[in-house]
This record gives sequence, C-alpha cells and structure tokens, in this order.
Amino acid sequence: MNISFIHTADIHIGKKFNVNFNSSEGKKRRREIWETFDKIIEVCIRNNVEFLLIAGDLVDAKHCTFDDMKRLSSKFSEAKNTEIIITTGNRDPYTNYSLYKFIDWSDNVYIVDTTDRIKKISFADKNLCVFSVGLDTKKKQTERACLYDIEVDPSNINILLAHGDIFDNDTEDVRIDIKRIENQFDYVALGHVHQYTEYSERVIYPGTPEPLDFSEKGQHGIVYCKLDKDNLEKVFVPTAKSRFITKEIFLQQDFSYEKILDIIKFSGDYISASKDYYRIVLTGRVDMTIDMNKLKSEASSFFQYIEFIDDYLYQIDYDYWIDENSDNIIGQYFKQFKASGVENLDRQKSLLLGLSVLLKEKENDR
Amino acid sequence: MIINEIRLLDFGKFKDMSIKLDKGINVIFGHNEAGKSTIHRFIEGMFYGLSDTSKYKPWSGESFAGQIIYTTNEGKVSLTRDFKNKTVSVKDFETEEDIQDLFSRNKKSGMIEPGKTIFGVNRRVFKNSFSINQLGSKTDDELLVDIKEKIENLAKSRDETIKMAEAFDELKKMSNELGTADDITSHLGLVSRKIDDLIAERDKRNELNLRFDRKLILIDVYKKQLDFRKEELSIINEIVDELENEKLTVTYDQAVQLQKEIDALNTEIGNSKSILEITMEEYEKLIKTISRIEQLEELENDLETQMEDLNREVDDIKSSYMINFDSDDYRKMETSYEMYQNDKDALNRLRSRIETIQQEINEFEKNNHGKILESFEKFSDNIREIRYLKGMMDSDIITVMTQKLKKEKRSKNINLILAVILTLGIAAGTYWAANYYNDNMIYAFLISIIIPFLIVKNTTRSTNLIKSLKLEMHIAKEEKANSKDMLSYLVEENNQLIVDTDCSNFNELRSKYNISLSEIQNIEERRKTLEALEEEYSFVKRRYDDKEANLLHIVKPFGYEDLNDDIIQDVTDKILESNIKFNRLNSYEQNFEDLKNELEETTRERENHFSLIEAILNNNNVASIEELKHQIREQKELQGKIVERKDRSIELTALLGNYTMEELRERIDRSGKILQELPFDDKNQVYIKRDAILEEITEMEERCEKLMQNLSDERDQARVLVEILEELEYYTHSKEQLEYNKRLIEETGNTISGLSAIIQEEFLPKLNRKINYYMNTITNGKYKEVLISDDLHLSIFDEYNDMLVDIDNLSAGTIDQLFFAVRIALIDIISRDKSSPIILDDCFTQYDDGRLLNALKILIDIGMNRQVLLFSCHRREGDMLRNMESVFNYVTLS
Repeated sequence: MNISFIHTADIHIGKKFNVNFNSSEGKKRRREIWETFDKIIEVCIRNNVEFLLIAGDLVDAKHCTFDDMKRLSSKFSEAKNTEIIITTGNRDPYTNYSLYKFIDWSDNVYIVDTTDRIKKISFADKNLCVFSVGLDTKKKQTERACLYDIEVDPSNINILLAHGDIFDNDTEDVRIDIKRIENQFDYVALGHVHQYTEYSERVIYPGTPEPLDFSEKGQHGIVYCKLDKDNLEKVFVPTAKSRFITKEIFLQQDFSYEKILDIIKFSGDYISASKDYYRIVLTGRVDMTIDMNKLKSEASSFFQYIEFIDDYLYQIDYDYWIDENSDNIIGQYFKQFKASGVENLDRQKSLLLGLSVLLKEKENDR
Repeated sequence: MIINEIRLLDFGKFKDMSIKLDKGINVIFGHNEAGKSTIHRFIEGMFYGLSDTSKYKPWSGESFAGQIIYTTNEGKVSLTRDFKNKTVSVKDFETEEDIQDLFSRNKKSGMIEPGKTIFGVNRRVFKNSFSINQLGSKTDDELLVDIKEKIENLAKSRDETIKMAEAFDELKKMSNELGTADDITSHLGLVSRKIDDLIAERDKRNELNLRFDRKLILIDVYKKQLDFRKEELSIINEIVDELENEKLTVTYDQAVQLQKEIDALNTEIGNSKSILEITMEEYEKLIKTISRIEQLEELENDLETQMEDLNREVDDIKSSYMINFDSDDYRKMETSYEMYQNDKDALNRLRSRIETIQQEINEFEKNNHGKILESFEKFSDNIREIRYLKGMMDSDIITVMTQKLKKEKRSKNINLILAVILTLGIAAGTYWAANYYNDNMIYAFLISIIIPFLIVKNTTRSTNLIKSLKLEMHIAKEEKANSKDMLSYLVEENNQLIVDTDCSNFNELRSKYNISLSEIQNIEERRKTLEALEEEYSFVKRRYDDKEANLLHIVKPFGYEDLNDDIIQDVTDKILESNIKFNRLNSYEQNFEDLKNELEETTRERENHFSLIEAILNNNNVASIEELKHQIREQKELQGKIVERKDRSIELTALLGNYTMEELRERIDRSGKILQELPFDDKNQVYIKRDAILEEITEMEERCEKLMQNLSDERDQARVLVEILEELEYYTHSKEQLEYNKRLIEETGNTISGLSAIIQEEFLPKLNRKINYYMNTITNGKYKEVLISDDLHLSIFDEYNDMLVDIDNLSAGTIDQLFFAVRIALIDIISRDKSSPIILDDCFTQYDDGRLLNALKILIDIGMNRQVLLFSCHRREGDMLRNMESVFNYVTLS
C-alpha cells in the first residue's frame, strides 16, 4: 500500500518585501503568494492527496497577522481528506507566543509543537510515521541533537519533516547533519533552501512555491510523491504565478536611445513581461546625450515590474570638450574632471548636470 | 596674417571668382543677394571646413572647391580646399612646397585644420570673435548692455556667450524645486511629511500589536492554568469513580448484616411472649444520642487527621521557594529582556558608528588644514596688496607732476614778461594820452601802481604752487621707493607661503584651500552627527542600564548574578511554578479553615449530647446508662425485636433498591477491589472539589474565548504593519534619492562657481589690460583706463578731464569705441595670431552718417595693425573713407 503526499515549504505568507517594492507591489505579491497557497490546497482536494507536508516557514511570523492565520486555518479545513503536518522554521518559530498556538486548527492539521524533542505523528491505518522537531528562537544547537536519536520501526513508512540547512551554509542552530540520519527514513522532507534541490533521491528541498526575490531564479513549485516501503514516484509541479528574471545588458556608446529601449523591451516576451519580475543590469558605456531616466521610465511601461541596476558609465570624450571649449569654463570644467582621474556614474551625472546648465545658457544666447 | 586673395573656384553661385585683398581696410561692396554672405562663409569654410555643404554646392559643374592666398610672418601660403572630396592642401606660395606637416590635424577625421593652426581657436570661437555681424541693429543702450554682458560673461566663464548668473539660477531653481524637509510645499518636504506620518502610523500600529501580544501572554497563562485544572479534574474524577465502587460494597455488607439480623430475630421471636412496660420514646432517644456521640467522636478524629495532613502539605509548600507572581516586574520580564537585548545591539551599533566618526575626525585633525586656510588667505591678501603697490608704481604721477611743474614755471615766466610789457605799455600809453589830452597825471600813476601789484600777486601764487608741487613730488618719490621694498617683501612672503604649504604654485594652494574648506564643512557635519549619536548612545545606555539593573534585581533572588536567555527562561519557569504553588497554598489554607470550624462544631454538638444523656438517666432513676439499658432490655426486648425485624426488612428493601442481593454482589465483583487509601479524608470534600474545579474550568474557557474574540476584532481596525513598513521604506528611499539629487546639484554648483572665481581672478586682469590698451589706441589717449570693479561694474577714466566716467554716461561714439576695444582685446587674448583679420558683415547698415563716420575712424585705427574686411550693401562706407582720404581697397561685387 502506498501513500500520496505533497511536500512544500517556505511559503512565507505575510512576507515584507524589500525597498524596491513599493507598498502596492508588496501587497500584490503577498496576494499572489496567497493565490499559490490556495492552489496547493486545491491540488490536495482535487487529487485526494492523503498528506500535505509543510517543512517550515509557512508564514513570516514577524509580519503575518492573526487574520492571516485564521485564513490559513479555514483553508486547511477545506482539505478535510488531507492530513496536514506543519513543522516550524526560523521565520515562524514555535515560541511561547507563536500564533500557531492561538488558532483553532481543524482535526486534519497537526502542528509540530515541540522544539527540543522529536514529535512522532503516527497514522496507523496508513502505516505511516512522520517525525519532526520545530524551530524556536532559542538558537540552541543542542535541541536539534534529538534528530539523531530517532528510533524508527522499519516496518512502517517513515518520513522526516524538518526545516534546516544540510549544506552547512547557515548558522549552526539550523544545521542538520543529514548523513547521520538519511538512511533511516523513506523520505526526508526538508525546508529552508528556497530553490528546488535534490540532495539525493529521497532527500529533497522543494523550494519556495512562489519565488520571493531576484535571487530565486527559475521554476518554482511543489513536490508530489507516491511512496511505499520500496518505491518513490515523485513529480515536480510548477505553481509559481510569476518568475524573477535578471538580465544583463551590455551597452555600447554607439547605441541610440531607441536601440537601448528596444533591447530592454525585448528582453522578455509579451506574456513574461506582463506577469514576471524583471531586473535589468545595465553595463558598458552609454552615449552621454541619452537621457537614461526618461528611457527607463519609458521602458517601464512595457513591464508589469522592472527595476534597473546602474552599472554603466557615460561615454564622455573629455578631449573633445576640452578642445571645443579651449579655455572657457566648460573646457576648464572638463579638464578638472579629467584631471581628477575618478570616473564613476555619480561624478559623471554631476558633470553632465553642470554641462547642461552651462550649455543651456549658451544655447539661449545663440 | 593677411589674406591676399580669395579664389572661389566653384562655390555657390561663384565660378572662378577672385578677389584681391590688401592689408588695412578692404570694403567689399555688393547689393543684396550679390553673394557677400557666401564670400563670408567661404572664408570661414576655407579655414575650418563647411558643416553644411549642401547650401553652397555650385549651381553647375562637378567641382566644389576654393583657394585662399594669405601671408603670415613665415611667408606666403596658398590654401586649397576641395569641399566635394573633403581634401585640403597647403603649399608655400613661392616654392609650391607642401607644408601640411606644419598644421594640426583633426583627431577624428585626420584632416588638417588650417584655421586652428593659424588663429589658435576652433570654428566656434572664430565665428564668435573674428566676425562681427549686424552691429547696427543695436541701439546705444542695447550695445551698452551687450558690452556689459560680454564682459561679465567673459570675466566669469571666459566665454562671452555663457551667462554664469543664469546657469547658477538654473541650478538654484532645480535645487529649490527639490526643496527642504521643512518646506511642505516642496518634493522633499512632502516626502518628509509622509515619512513622519508613516512613522506615527507605525508607532500606533506597534502599540496595537504590543497590546495584542500582551493579550496573547494573558491567554497563554490562562491556557496553562486551564491545563493544570484539567489535570486536577482528571485525578479527582478517578477518585470519584473509586468512591462509587466503595459505596456499593458498603451497601452489600449492610444488606448481608440486615438479612442475618432478620434471620436471628425470626428465631428469637418464634419462642418468646411479648411484654411491654418502658416508654419507647425515651429508649430510642437514648440509643440515638449514644450512637450520635460515637459518630461525633469518630468525626473529630477524622478531622484532626485531615488537619494534620493539610498542615504537613502546607509546610512542604512553604519550605520550597516561592515568589509573588503578581509583581509587574515579573510579568513584564520577558518583554523587558527582549528590549534589553535590542538596546544592547543598538548600543554596539551606535558605538561602532561613533568610533568610525571619531576616527574620521581624528584623521581630519591630523591633517594641517588650518595652516592651508591661513596661508591661502594670507597669500590672497598679499596678492591684493601687491596689485595695489604695482598700480601705484606703474602710475606716472611723478611724470605728470614734472610736466605740470614745467608748465607752471613756464606760465609764471610768461606772465611776468607779459605783465611788465603790458604795464609799461599801458603806463606809457596813459602818460602819452594824458599829455596829449592834457589830462591829470594821477591816472597814469595809479595804473602803474595797481597793475604791478596784480602781477606780483599772480607771480607769488605761481611760486607757491611750484613749491607745493616740488614737495608733493618729493613725497611721491619716497613712497615709490617704500612700495618697492614692500613689494619685494610681499613677493618673498608669498613664495615662502607656497613652500611652507608644500605647494608648487598658487593654484595648487588654492585647490588645497578648497579641499580644506570642504573638509572642514564635512567634518563639522560629522561632529554634529557624532554629538547626536553620542546623545542617542547615552540615552540608550541609560535605558539599557536601568533595564539591566531591573532585570538583575529580578533574577537575583533566583541566585543569578548576570543575564542571558537561559536564565530568563529559567526564572520565567520558576515564577510560573511558584504561581501554581501559591494557588494551591491558598486553597489548602481555605480547606484548613473549613476543617477547623467543622471540628469545633462537632465538639460542641458532642458535649450537648452528653448533657442530654444525663437528663435521661435522671428521669429514669438509674445511676448509669448500663443500668438503664439492662432494665429496658429486659422489659422491652421482645417488643423491640419485633419492631426491629420490621424495620430491618424495610431497611433491607430500601438498601437493595432495584437490585437483588445476588445482583449487587455481581456488580461489586465487576468493579474490582475496594480502594485501599484515599487522598481525601472526607468523601464529600472530593465532590465539592470536583465541582469547584469544573466551575473554574468553565469560567476560564469562557474568559479565553472572550479574549480570543477581542483579539481578532482589534486586528481589523488599522492597516497591517507590513504595509506601513514597506511604504515607510519606500518613502525613506525616495527621500534619500531626492537628497542625493540635491547634493549633486549643490556639488555641481560649487564646482562651477569655484572655476568661475578662478577665471575671474586670472582672466579678468588680462582682459582689462588689453581693453585698456585698445581703448587708449582707439581714443588717441583720451581714455587710457577702463576700470572693472570686483562686481564687474565698468567705468572709464577720462584723462583730459581728470575724472571717472560711469559707463552709463558715455556718449554713443565712446560706446562704439569701447565695443571695438573689447572685441579686439578678446581676439588678441584668444588668438595665436596677433594680426589676424576681422570681418564686419553688414555691420553698419542702420548707423546714421555721424555714427558711421565715427565707427570708420575706429576701423582706420584698427586697420593700422590688422586687416579689416568690411562687407556692405551701401556705398556710404567707401565714400566716407575717400572723403577722409584714407587708404583702402574697394571691391565691388557684380
């Protein structure tokens, strides 16, 4: 007899987004995360999935509201044929006043409410045992040691559900020494790494079902599995409504305004531009007469979201300007900039601003 | 240089057209559309190339070229340009030798640029300086404004077309548009206002969240207590179950006993006769009282045991450590600890920022900026002094005085001689007249007296004047000598200043000065930031110390001397434990009080019963209860047994209820063994306790539910924190952007104004000298000096009238002179070739004859030193020059 389950993690409901997202962007993105969450529940209901394993960071506890939690609870109660097992992560630690404690969860929801010892949740009728331990804020490394003392009954299907870092990249309190335990379990459902990662056939990070920032590239979704003592069938199901896409554009001094605009415009196809998040890194050299601010704002109208990283410089022919203006203030101005030997975008902007006001007066006179 | 000939081989409408030009003035006359402008553009095009060739493409023919023959100090050169193929060749006119290598080339096109090499300026400057267009369309006032503006522009930007004041205005306008944080009508003000609003909203939201969290804490405490109570309830329920079992057993035993008694009574009653003598009432009362006393004694023993047990438990609790949980400090401890940790982090962050800034300030103080500032200011003062002294020395006051002295001496002598001749003449004439007319001699005598007197007076005045002039000259010479010493002293001092500040020249000192100035401003700001940070640090530190002391005070009773997460957790746990103990202690103490009262009540009742027994004994005249019993027993035994049998039977039926004896036995067996030992001495107490706990649980559950209800309602009232924070971050970022833009504008302004100041200081004196030179030349020495003040106000020194004339009071002619002086001065400064030609294109079209005459006089003066090409559509210029008998070359375009 096999069991079916969906493994997800790091949904981060209620997340606060960074500065480039203004308030309405953040709101929109949080709504999209909810929609994706709803979609996961929908998949559980439609496919009669027996178990939904959430491996931590379901919510961002710092900013998630009580109403959010109530909404979660209500949504979980809809999937009444799916047993939902939730462990806590570093973003939603199970502390004394964790909101998880104050919600009336429906009977199909199991919150892993221990942080210093293993919680064993058994489903005798399905011959399944889920082992887990939550995270709290004490950052005690020793509490995770209980992971290494689990005794399993080999006749059962044994799953470990945990939030943590198996690659030793993060702080010690969230690390898990996977080598010591992986062989005991039929499946290890992990959370914490936001990108889909297969440590081994049966040790999986599903990644965030909806990506959260530009570091989270590529496809995002959930892992749908069928498991018995001998076999594991698993499918990655994409769920993300939007992707975060970073493109670098190398500009050359002979590129015209329209050409640069076209390159930016066509860095994403129409469908992608209307739903994905774009970050354009501008490098290389730009003709100094091009108004980049205007260009960027014009380009923005083609994307539902776009941000720019200015890593370019203006192409400024100092010698030409010095020569053209021999001894007058414009010539002196360029000489001074050239002599300083420092060339960065800020200084260039200052130079071009000065030039624009000096030239403006000059033009007026003519 | 002089242009000897221009050859328009194929250019515009011209083909093989040649114009020979002379040095000095060349008037090129042609009606409108005769091609004057084409020739003008041709000259420009030959030297600099054409930016737009289409306009001058020949009307017919394939070729598009021209040639200019010109002479410089190095010799005669022929310059040929093919506009079509864009080639230029320059050859020595005599030897035909290619001299291209002597010319600079354009970096982009690689083509030689004859104009740049010859005149030393680029096309733009050539166009602006060497060509003078449409002068005539300007009125005197407009020309005056034009001159003032040109000089101001030149002084500040070294370019007559760049208006610095307006450039600064433009920057200021940009900066003003951004505004300041205080001005709510500006961008920055609006954003700052929005940020303040958001901070207020965030604080309000945080306050709400804090209240929410406090409620969570409360609910948590209730829930824990609820769990504890539920646990207690389950224990009590177990006991109740056991009690139910014991009751059945007792019932069964009683039933068996009753059955035995009934059987025995049946046996006895069957053999005896009944007798009745003693009253049953008295007997029953006695029996009841005795059994009641026995019951009460038993009860007293029970109560005493219970009290002892309770006392033991109370002592146990009291002997373990307890603390009063109700204190506010303990309730807030966890929050307070979290804030304490936050303060700790904040302190570290502040400390590191303060150290960074202090390090910056220390770095700054190590550099000797003060010396640079002082040196630069001293240097500038010295330069002003030197300029003044040089002016003093250059002025030719002594020569003027010497001339004046000579003039005065000469006039004195002439006066004297004239006076003597006049006096003698008049005297002789008068004498002759008097004789002739035979008149009185008195007149002649009087005249000969008065006139010499006047002469002597006049001579004395002159002598005095000469004396004072000599004295003044002496003083002036002395001053001059002193100035020389002073000058060399100052120059020496300035050189020393340069050396002292490790600079190689004044410009380097100036740039160091500017750096120091901005450094000082910068460090001032850093100091202010430092003060603010230190203030914040000490504020946070005070708060942190208070918190620490408070927390230490709290944890001290638990044996802790310092603070960390574990300690706080441990203390919290202990407090909770204590609280539970407190509750238990309270309930025990209440129980104890109840038991004590009950005991007293029981003892009193027992004593009452004893007096009742004594009364009964007296009534029956018996000494003891035993005796009375005996009597009664004998008399009433039989009757009693019958009654007893009846009673026992009823009792047995009531006791068994719906059960039969066998059924009851079965049930007891099923329920298991009777409980051996109970935690409560009194069964009722168990039930009371259970009911109390149940009530408490219901109440707590209701309270929790109520709190939970409020909890969710309250969250709906305001915007969620995450939205406020995101908006706050967004606006803070916007503000930083605006401030960055403002800084950019200010820095740009500073850079330009610094450069402008340097230009004014370095370029203006040079320009002034040149203007003076040309003004002097053009006005034949009438105006030697044009004074340009620091604020660029113009005035002219009128040599003849010995007075300073404001530029606004000059005549139209002088303004024209000044215009040309400024124009030529500029050409002189910027041009490499000091004798390059100037081109006037229909300049004087709107001049009236008087003014034109004046202008031509100026041109004649200019024409002495350089070639003048005067394009005109009038014949006036030629006619007037001819009338003035000036030498000039006249070209007529057909």
